[in-house]
Amino acid sequence: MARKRGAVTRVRLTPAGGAYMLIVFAILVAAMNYSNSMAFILCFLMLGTLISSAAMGRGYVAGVRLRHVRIHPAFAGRGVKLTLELIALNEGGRPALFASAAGVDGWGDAFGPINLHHSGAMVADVGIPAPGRGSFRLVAVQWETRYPLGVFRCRREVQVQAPYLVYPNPEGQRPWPQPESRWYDWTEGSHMSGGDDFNGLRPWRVGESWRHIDWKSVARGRSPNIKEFSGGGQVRTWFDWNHLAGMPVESRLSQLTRWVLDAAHLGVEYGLRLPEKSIEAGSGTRHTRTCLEALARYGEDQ
Amino acid sequence: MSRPQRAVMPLSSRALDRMKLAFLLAVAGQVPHLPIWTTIMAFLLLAWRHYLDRRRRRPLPPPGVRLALALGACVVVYLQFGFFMGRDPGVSALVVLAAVKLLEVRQSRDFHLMGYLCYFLTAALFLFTQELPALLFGVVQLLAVNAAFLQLYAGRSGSLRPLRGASGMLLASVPVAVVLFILFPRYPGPLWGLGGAAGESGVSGFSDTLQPGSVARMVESQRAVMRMKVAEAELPPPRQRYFRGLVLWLTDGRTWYPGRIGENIAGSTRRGRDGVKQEIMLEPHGQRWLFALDYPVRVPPGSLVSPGNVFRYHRRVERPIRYRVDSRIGGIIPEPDLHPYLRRMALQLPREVNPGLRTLVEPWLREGTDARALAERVLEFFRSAGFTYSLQPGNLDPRDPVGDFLLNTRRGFCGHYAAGFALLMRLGEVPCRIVAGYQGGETNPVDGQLVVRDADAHAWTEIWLDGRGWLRVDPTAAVVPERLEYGGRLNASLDEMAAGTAEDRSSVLRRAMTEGGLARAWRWIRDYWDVARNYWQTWVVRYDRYQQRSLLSRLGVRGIQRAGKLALVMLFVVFTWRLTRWLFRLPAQRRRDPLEKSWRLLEARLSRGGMNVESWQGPLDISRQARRRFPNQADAIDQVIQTYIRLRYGVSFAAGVEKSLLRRVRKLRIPRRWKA
Repeated sequence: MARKRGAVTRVRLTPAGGAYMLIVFAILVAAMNYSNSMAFILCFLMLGTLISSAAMGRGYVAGVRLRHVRIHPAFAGRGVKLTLELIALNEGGRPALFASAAGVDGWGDAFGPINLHHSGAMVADVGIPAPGRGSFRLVAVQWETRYPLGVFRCRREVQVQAPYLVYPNPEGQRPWPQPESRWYDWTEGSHMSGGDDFNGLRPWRVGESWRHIDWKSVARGRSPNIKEFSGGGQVRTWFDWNHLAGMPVESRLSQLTRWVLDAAHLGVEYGLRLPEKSIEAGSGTRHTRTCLEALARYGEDQ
Repeated sequence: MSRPQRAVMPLSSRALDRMKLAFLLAVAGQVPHLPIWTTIMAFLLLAWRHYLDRRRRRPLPPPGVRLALALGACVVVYLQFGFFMGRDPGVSALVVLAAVKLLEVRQSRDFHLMGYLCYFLTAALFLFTQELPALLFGVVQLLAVNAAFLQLYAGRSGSLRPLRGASGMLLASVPVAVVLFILFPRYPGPLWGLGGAAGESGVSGFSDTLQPGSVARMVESQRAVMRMKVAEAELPPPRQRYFRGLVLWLTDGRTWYPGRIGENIAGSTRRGRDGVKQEIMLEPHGQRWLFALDYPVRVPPGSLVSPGNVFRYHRRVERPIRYRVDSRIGGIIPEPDLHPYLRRMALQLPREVNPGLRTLVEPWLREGTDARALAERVLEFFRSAGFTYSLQPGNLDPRDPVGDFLLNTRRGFCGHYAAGFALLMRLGEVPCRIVAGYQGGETNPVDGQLVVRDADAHAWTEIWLDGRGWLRVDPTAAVVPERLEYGGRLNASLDEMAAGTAEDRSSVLRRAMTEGGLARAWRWIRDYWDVARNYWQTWVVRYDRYQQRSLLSRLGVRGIQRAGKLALVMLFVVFTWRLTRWLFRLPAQRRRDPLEKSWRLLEARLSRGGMNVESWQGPLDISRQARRRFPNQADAIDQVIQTYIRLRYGVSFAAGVEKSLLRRVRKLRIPRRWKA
């Protein structure tokens, strides 16, 4: 959970609020000019309503708490998606809110209007700009409302400290590097290009790709099994920084990211070699995340 | 750091419907005050917009059509009034242009403009009327507009009730509005003039001329026109309650006029200090006449004294005014001599006088020329020659109404009798003038003030007695003496009374004066309503710097300085603020959500057990992870998390469960393990 540092609630007059004030003033001048008591009353009631509406809007946004921020993995250039979980503490109604978040690079677009659920919680998907890869941190989250009259913009800004990673933008046209077999055993009849000889079934393990699951047997009600092909599952590929010599740093990282994602998609085993760091071959979601994290953090220690 | 992009609230059709209702109410308030086509046009445009909204796909009219409509509206307003400045054309244009604007409301920006125009229309309503019902209606309009805004900014919330919210805000705004109303400095007089339809604002009452039949319209109305506060001991008996308003000197045979008299004609008005002290609240009548018990000797500052012991306001009375005046009660205004100019005016005769009238007066003149004796003779004539009192006297000869009345029909009411009497006296060379005003009035039992109504309107005469002054003679009293005793209440029965014998008269009188339960209830309501209206007029509508001063000294805060007043206003601003928070049950800043507390505790327990609780993990992730990590407590943890999810995201809501959840989290036995 992101740690909250501080929160501040602000009330600002909107342009519509400025117009409202002008109208109140115009009615006041008319009331003074014509000594019209009713116009005085109208004018003062409108002023009182203004105060009351500020109290209402402020009380409402101040009663909304940020319970949870979930930051989704993101790739550079596409913006970071966040899921905010907001809770309203008040028992009354829950008017429309607009939410937005800020990273170190500034505020993302406002998301809304959202209405918090009547039992209090609601998620909002906001974005913050993410121009480049690296590790960043979420700075602030805010939500605002113009309820009730649209004359005030009541805003609550919460300081949060939540680190997140932006992976390099996956792109690059370089061909797939030469894979290497796990067991250099040519005698058993397996060969590099082969991957289509059926070898048998074994139980599916958590984290493995679904691509080779024997779906027919699953449909018959058995537990999922993996169809093993000679060669196919046992090929491992190394994505090596040094294979891409001559390219700029960020392009290399992008190309590596592309490969990692492709490999993860295909479900093959792969390893990553960076100048400072080497990640042993493996597969599965966690392995992918480890590789992507290493790519995102490249060069951080220097 | 740059702020996030401005968030614009999309316009919902529910909000738009509420705004249309607000506009409907705002225009409805103007219906009695504006030319009827203005409001009809606004209603038609509103109906058009509503029709387009109902048929979803129909586009709004294109800009050309709207522009043409707006220009057309301006042209029609100009044709109607011939000018744009002033109240009536201004408000008419506002109504029509706002209705055209309604046709192009698409986004929240137009929506705001529409709402603000409605506020203006409410303010414009108060230029026409300041009665209590108008304020109530204005408040309804205000609520309708605010509810439309609330609907817009509530979004899709199902639990907000816009009207309730608007009412709550209005209620919370009352304290600060009241204190501002009391304390805000009032300045006298207008900064600039109110153009447009001022004199023709439709207030009924005395015109400055008198035609024999002109009072009839008024006597049918029970509207209170004047309210008098006077010490009970000083209140004259009903017979003496003549309220002097204006004196009419000249006639053309049909109409009586006040005539023009230079202010320099001396000796025409007596002044004095002692007398019956009255405080009078006069409803607007569109003229300058002020009324007082006959005859006023000390008039309020700012009013002008005219010959004939009458006084006038410095401008037309277009709003209720309050003034103090002293009067001497008595049937005669003592004056040593009559200015020759006034004598000539008081003897003026129309160019043509019915010869029948001259032959009527001749034998009386031969009996003697004493003014009093002649007056007595004329009154005797009224009593004995078959004259009857009637509010429906029928048509009189338009060329010579007075002659027709005196010689032929002999049916009429105070205007006829006064005009007839005055003409006969002048034919007898006795200076005579007509006085118009009120006679009678009744005490409101609620606050003890004397209320004079339209129905009490009256006209009587005064004759000049050499060396003594002007003597009041009320010829109507010769025909119906009861009129003096019972005033305007009797009007409805007077026709019936005039027809019958003496016994009939007393029985009709008894019937007229005894009321049934319903009538008594009505009178009771009317009495209270009168008093409420009086307070309203005194303390709200006519609340000016003098009232302010007297109220502040009554409250004991008269001496406070500007800073003190500001502090007082700020105090009430804070009060309004707190009242809003209380009314809408807005939570205190520091309140923690019990569910949040449970969740934090669970997170703390899990991480104490060695589990990494990451920022991106939702409750379900954590449940799965905890199941792997703590297989022994898996079910208990899962149950707690499921309850949390149900409470947090589910549709049902029960306050008690939140506390039990916290207890269950506390009971979880998660093995403690320190992370490496």
